[in-house]
Amino acid sequence: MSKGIMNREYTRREFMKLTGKGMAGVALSSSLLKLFDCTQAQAESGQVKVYPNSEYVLVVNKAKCTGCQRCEVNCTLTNDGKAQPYLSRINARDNFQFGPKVSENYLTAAGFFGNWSVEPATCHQCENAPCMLACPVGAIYPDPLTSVRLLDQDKCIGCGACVAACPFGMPKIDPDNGKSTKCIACGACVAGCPTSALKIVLWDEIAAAM
Amino acid sequence: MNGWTGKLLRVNLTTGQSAVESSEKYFDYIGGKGMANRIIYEEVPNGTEPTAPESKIVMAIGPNTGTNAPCSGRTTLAFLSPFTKYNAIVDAHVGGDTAVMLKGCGFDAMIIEGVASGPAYIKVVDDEVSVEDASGLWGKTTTETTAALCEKHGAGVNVMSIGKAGENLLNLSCVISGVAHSAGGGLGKLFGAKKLKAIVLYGKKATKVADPKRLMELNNYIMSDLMGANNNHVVPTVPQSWAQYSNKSTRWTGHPGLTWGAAEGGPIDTGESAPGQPTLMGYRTQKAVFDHGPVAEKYTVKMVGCTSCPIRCYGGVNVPMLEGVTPNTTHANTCIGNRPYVGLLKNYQDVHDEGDGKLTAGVYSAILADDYGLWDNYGELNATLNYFINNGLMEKIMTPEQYNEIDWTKRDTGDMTFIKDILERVVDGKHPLSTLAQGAYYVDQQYHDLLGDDYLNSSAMTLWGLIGAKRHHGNECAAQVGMLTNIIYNRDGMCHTIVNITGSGLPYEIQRNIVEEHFGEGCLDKPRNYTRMNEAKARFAKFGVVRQVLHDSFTLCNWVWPMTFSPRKERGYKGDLSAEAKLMSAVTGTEWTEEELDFAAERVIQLHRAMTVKSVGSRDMRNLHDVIPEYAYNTEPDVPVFTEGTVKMEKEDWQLALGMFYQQFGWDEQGSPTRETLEKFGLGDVADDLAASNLL
Amino acid sequence: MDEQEKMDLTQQEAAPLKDEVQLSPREAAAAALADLLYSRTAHNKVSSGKWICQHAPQGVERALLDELLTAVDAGRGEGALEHIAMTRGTKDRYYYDASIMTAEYARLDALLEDKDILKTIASVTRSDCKLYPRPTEFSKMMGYPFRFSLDEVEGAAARMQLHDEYQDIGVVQASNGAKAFYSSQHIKEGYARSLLEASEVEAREWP
Repeated sequence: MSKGIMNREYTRREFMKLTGKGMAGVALSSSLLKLFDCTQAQAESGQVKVYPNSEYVLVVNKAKCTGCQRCEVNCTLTNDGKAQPYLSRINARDNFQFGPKVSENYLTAAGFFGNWSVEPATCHQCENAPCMLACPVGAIYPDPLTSVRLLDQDKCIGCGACVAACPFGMPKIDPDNGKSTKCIACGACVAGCPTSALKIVLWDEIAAAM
Repeated sequence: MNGWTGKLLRVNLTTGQSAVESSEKYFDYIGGKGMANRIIYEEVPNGTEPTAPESKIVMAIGPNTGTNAPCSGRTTLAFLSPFTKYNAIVDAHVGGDTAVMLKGCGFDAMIIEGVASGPAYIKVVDDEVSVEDASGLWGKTTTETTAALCEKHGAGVNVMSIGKAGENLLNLSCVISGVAHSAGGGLGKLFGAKKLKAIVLYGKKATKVADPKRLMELNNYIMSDLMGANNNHVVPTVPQSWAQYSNKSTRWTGHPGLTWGAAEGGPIDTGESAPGQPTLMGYRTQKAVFDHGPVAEKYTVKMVGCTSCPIRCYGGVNVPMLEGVTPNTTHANTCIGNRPYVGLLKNYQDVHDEGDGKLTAGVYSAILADDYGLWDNYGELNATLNYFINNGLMEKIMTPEQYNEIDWTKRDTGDMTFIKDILERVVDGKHPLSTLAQGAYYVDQQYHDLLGDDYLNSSAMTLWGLIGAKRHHGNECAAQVGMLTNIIYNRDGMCHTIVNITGSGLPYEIQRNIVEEHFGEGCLDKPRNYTRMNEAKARFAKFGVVRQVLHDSFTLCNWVWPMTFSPRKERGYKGDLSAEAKLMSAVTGTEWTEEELDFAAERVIQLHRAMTVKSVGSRDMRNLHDVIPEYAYNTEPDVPVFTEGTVKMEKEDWQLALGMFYQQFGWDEQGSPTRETLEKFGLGDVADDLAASNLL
Repeated sequence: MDEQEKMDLTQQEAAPLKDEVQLSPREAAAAALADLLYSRTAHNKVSSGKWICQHAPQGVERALLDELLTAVDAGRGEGALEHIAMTRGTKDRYYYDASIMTAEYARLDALLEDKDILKTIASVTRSDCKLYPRPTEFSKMMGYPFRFSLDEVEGAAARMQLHDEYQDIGVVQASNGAKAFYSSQHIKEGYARSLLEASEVEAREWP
């Protein structure tokens, strides 16, 4: 293992200690705020979600997401060669109107019908990824370098175990090729976000800022 | 099959049955408007009452819909106009999520026919299609209806619904999709007549594209090199360090120091987003400030808009002054939709800052209108209401009791509840005020004794045509060119091809030099300083509507497209008019040239014109359809025509303009398509049809 | 070791080489000056000669600074100063990085740095009337990046009438009360009023 990766791992652990289960209530340094392109108030009010993996942190800023869903189709054009939001590894379409479900106080709750807050659901690249543990053929595996949970399309038998196991409802089985659409952290969603509501921040950058 | 799904869905409300058919025979009409117009032509007999059981509604999308091409989230609905003279074909265009959801269900179009026995809604989830009971929803607002159906069928389903205006069969009623996306043209009335309260769509299927890599490269090229802000304005409103030009009138309002002031967790600065930064372009258009004025900044939560659009032209505001007044304090819309009836008040009651009274009243009126599903017809309803008030006609159309029931002093004091007092009577359906929401032509028909010839011809109404259609970018934009783009339609023209050029923010000479390369010398006059009609202007006007129809068929948003200009200095500000053809090629896998795609779009216009000729029942379109009101000739009485400072038209020149425009389309001197022209576009059957009606 | 790790190592080894390239004192001074001007330009500001002298990069002698700036003035910015351009104001010369700022914006910021409101308004108005053509709204002068107060703008309008060099600058008003400057060198009063009415009143009523 190279020195770079050890540094990354150290930074990641320090960052995880800092952010714990989320960003709400966390005091971030001004250089980290700059890196995440958000304000302390946004972080404190829970507008900013971070999804760390070994390679980078995916920053999702709810205050900046405008619900255009370009991320979804960029995802499937890149990974599946077709435009199919349903297969997307990021999901704004199901929650941009009301949040994940219509609540009694929907006029003041999340979504376009309420306070405009939109939180696209993404793959968490979980450390003990239930999708990976559930896969009966070992098609979901950690990248040795980044530990992003990758998908071996050749091994995948489309059984749907990952779909059932994911607590966030992210992977789907593509009906055209019978393969899982587990997120492989390709970054296509981030690259096309017109308001930079999605951002990838590398550990090396975080190390410099921490 | 790439782009298209190849299937259309037919839902019969009378029987509750649905059927899936091939859509391939309509591909010559591209999709969207073209496909929907052709289906109406084939299936709805000429002379059908728009609200009769035999009348149909066709909603359609095109090969480009759902591909993530920038601004491709648009749906076109075609039907017979309930509100303009001759009840000819009209289209409504709606954004939001409807288009991608219909595509996701696997359909290029949905035909809605028949009449339900009681309140109903159509539910389409992929292949599962059903007609469901909506009796519990009848009478509910569009927001309540959407929330109820999303609760039942999933928070992410797209709901299109009507409110009281549609239920009570007002001509000026619309269908609301999601939050505040409106399909106008009187569509709400057609839904109401069919007892159709709502449509629920949720699709999971793919839009297949021939070359996804090329498509993504194209999208990136379009967003990096060609697109500016809303209306494709390519120059920012204020000087910015990267920019050569600035222009206060454009919609590229974002700049350092201007924020989304009420964003959760504190203001978000819109900053500089120079060309070539697609991941910041959503900050270029701070539309709440553009529509409401600077006071809106601190109430702005964020910009929103349609699926797949990186521009974000809906200004989302939270107005705490509405607490306890409206069910919710947030709203988003764009342009007139942000403040449709604010003009009913003569004054405004500011609370904290100068101007916040007008902002509050504007958002209040927008919330009411969308919940009622009341269509403002690009400000025509507001203008009509004011016309009747200002000319002392309200006393004459109401009984004394009805008149005295309304506290008219609120209008002067700026009490915004006056707007509700008026609108709730308008949507009632039985109150005399409801008769003012028939569209200007029918208002004039009913009250001609009171109105004389003044109402339809007045500058207070600013119609483009005596058929009762509102001017929506006309002679105020490139003089004859802008006005000509209207006459194709049986409602407000909504052509943005030309106004996006004149409003781009670029200096006049740069605009002129670029468009003259395409259409010839003299096609674009100086602003408010125009010259007599010429052939170049006729070519320019034709381009305007051909591209508009292309966008409504493809589908793309004509509020942003085509890419005539670019914000990039290094391109000499030249856009790329072949961008649509490049998208079509990448999506379908068949190489299309710009000319081929324009030809297909023109086929749709030829069909639309022939349908209009049939509805008018005469070939004399020049004198029966394409007639502009008197105000257009009479503005600025002290300024001579064809001099600096006026865009008023001259009668002889307008007739010349019509003739040149007709020639561009291969129409005769009366403005009707000839057999030769129709056959050139493969519309021989339409020519035969016209001949059989003695209209050829 | 996989390809990525190899690449990391290669880069780590290669990095110091870059620093070993020896710059002459003159080249180093030019690079430091270019960095200074880049960072100011990135904040949308031009830098006056005076300011540059006050903030001269460490170790750069005044004489060398003058020499480098004089070369920029003559359009011959050397080495790292290749992208640096100068625009002349009334009170000083102003420098900026032309790779991230347009000449048009630099001229405008130089006007603001000169702090001569009459000249600023007149220059912008003449340019607007000649180029677009359009009158220059009072509200434009009150917004970014000008930020004059209404009193300042109204005062300037009154004071310009007393100066010979601003006799071409007049004021027109739209029916909603909005005011704008125009230059009679380039457009007539009636035309200016008509253009103002179109943008301030008509375009707002029918957007």
